[in-house]
Amino acid sequence: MGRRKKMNILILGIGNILFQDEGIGVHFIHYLDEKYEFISDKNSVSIVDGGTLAQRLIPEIVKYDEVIVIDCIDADNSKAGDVYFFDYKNTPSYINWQGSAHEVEMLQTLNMIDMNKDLPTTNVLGIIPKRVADDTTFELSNEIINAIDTMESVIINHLKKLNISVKMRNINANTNIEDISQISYKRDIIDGPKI
Amino acid sequence: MVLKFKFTYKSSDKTLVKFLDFASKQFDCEYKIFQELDFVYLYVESNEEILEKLSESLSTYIPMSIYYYDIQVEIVEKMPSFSTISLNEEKTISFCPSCLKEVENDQSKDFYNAFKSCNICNSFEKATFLFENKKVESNIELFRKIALLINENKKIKIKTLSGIFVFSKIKTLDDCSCLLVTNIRKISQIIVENKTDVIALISIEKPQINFKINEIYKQKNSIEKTNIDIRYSNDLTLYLLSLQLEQYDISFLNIEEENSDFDCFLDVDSSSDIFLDIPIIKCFDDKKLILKSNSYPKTLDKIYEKFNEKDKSQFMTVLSENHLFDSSILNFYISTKDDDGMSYYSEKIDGLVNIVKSFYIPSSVNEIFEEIQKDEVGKRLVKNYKNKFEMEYKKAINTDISMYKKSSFLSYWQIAQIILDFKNSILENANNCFLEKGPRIDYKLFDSRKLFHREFDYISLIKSSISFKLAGVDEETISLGFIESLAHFIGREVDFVNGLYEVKAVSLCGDMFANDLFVSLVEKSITRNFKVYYNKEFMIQR
Repeated sequence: MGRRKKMNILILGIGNILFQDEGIGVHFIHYLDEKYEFISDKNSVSIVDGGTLAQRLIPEIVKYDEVIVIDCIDADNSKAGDVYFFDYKNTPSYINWQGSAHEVEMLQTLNMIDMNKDLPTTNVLGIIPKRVADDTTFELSNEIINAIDTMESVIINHLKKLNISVKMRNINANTNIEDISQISYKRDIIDGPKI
Repeated sequence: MVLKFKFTYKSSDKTLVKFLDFASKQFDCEYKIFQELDFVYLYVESNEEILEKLSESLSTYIPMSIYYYDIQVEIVEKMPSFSTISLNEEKTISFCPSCLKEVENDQSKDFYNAFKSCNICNSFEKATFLFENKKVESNIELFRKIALLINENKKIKIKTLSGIFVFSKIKTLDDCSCLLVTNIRKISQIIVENKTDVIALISIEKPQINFKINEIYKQKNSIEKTNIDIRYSNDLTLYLLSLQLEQYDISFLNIEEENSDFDCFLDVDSSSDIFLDIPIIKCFDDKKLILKSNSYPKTLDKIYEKFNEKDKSQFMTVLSENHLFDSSILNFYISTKDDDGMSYYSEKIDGLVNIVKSFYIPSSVNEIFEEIQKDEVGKRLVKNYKNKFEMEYKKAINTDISMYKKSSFLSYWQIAQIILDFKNSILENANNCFLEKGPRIDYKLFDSRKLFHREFDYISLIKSSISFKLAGVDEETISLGFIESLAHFIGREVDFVNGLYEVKAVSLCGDMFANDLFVSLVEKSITRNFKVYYNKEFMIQR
């Protein structure tokens, strides 16, 4: 039997942090990074704040074997705070990404990589935002805040299936999404790109 | 037995070669010296004992140099077949360690002889001092007298190898623009000491370096200035005077230009005039960048003059100095004085192309706000800004920005400073910011599918900065975001261009790269796969 190849996993947070819930993808990866350490002898986990870079993320995405994109999405018969986790290549028909400009751009980006046959195995952890964007603020809606536990358990379970041990760091009272969302624009990622 | 010394020496001058030749001559050995690209090779053949002595004493013969980085030694089988390099070169070299030894030795006939020189180093020829129009000998009494006059607050005009200057005791640092450090051991009295800078200061090139003034000195002496230019004695006149100033505990002198007021003049009468260049440099841990100099191969001037656009002229000098004409290089020229430029050079496309078009610089703040409001999101943004920052908005609208004409990132930063009503400049703010990371300010080019002549989206840049101000982010943090995001933009462009065409390395030029923060962020943003090149002997911006 040959040796199993090392798997490089990317957790990519997408969104515009200036427009409330639309930045949840970015805030959430900072929250994960602050709270957890991802350990594996064989595989690596890299956390990247993709913001609204869209196509400019292509050179980064193609370097990995497995990608988890965390972003806002839209879905039929959904309400704010609903969480979805799906394989990008088998996106359910009731999911769409038409909510905001950055969501459309991210979809186009993944499509472009796929057309070039460079797309790694990609799963999407999507959440329905409360779309009230009128003011520029880092505040999140209660619906999103309440959905964090679900998002957290989904991604941790998925990582465990990929043979990644998830260890909680020494966290404090400020390790919550509300506080993280106020500083993620200036926070350095601990588990940044490994490749 | 043959020893091969390999020196990393990033200059084409023959200064190191001359010192190696001199050092090797002191031993009973055969030697050959060879210089190629960034290296000088010395091969020495002799018995083990002599080679050991030579290795041990080499450092006493060779002065430090701003171009010298490393040495490797190995035993090789035999001497190479090539003949040793010619030593002919016109470059003026400041006093060497051997001459220094002579003028400091009270048993030597050259004790306190300021005109001592040898085959390697230079001084005025057949010279004598004229002090207050009278011929005087170069001796210890003369230097004692001048040191005493300086201590009595007299301003002394002195003819040096680099021209005529007026030297005096420091009254207040706020009135000084450049200092001569006369006692290098005391340099930390005034500045924040950095080993690399101090070593460079006393190197054979004796450059001028900008230092940060330390907080203790600033507070004790009520100094407002943050930085000061410093140089070290670059000829024996200044060096011997420095020795005498030590007894008065004077460690620094103020340097003024020739036409400043003075009390006494120490002139030199000589058979011919020579000129010793004072390069102005910026030191980093792993490199030194030349900001101003006349000590470079003059063929580089010819290469520079082949293009009208300064970014391309400068790019060509980087290619030439690093022998990259057969490579594929992406260049970023970012300047505080000229138009910026990003261009790609490759032998495969037969030359050079612009990655970005010349930047569009708006003529008024009103024009920018009008442009932002062309879509719904922009309308909301301006409305929110007007409501939340009414005073700042009105002030910005009424501020003239027509003086910002250069097609550069700096012009956008200056305009952003006005729109966001920042007290300090974006560069100053970013340098003062203690955070590791700033917010992501948008640097984008339109039409990301083509490679050449793309247009910079300045509206996104301004919009994102306004958004962060609205979200409550402070001035210094947003400014750090401006600088850091430009660095990330450069890194992404390198990856993007490499995705379409081959990029073998990146070159960085323009005086913005003398900024510690900016250059470190840019180097961090460029993927490790790409080697980064700079000018070596030529200024990073002519």
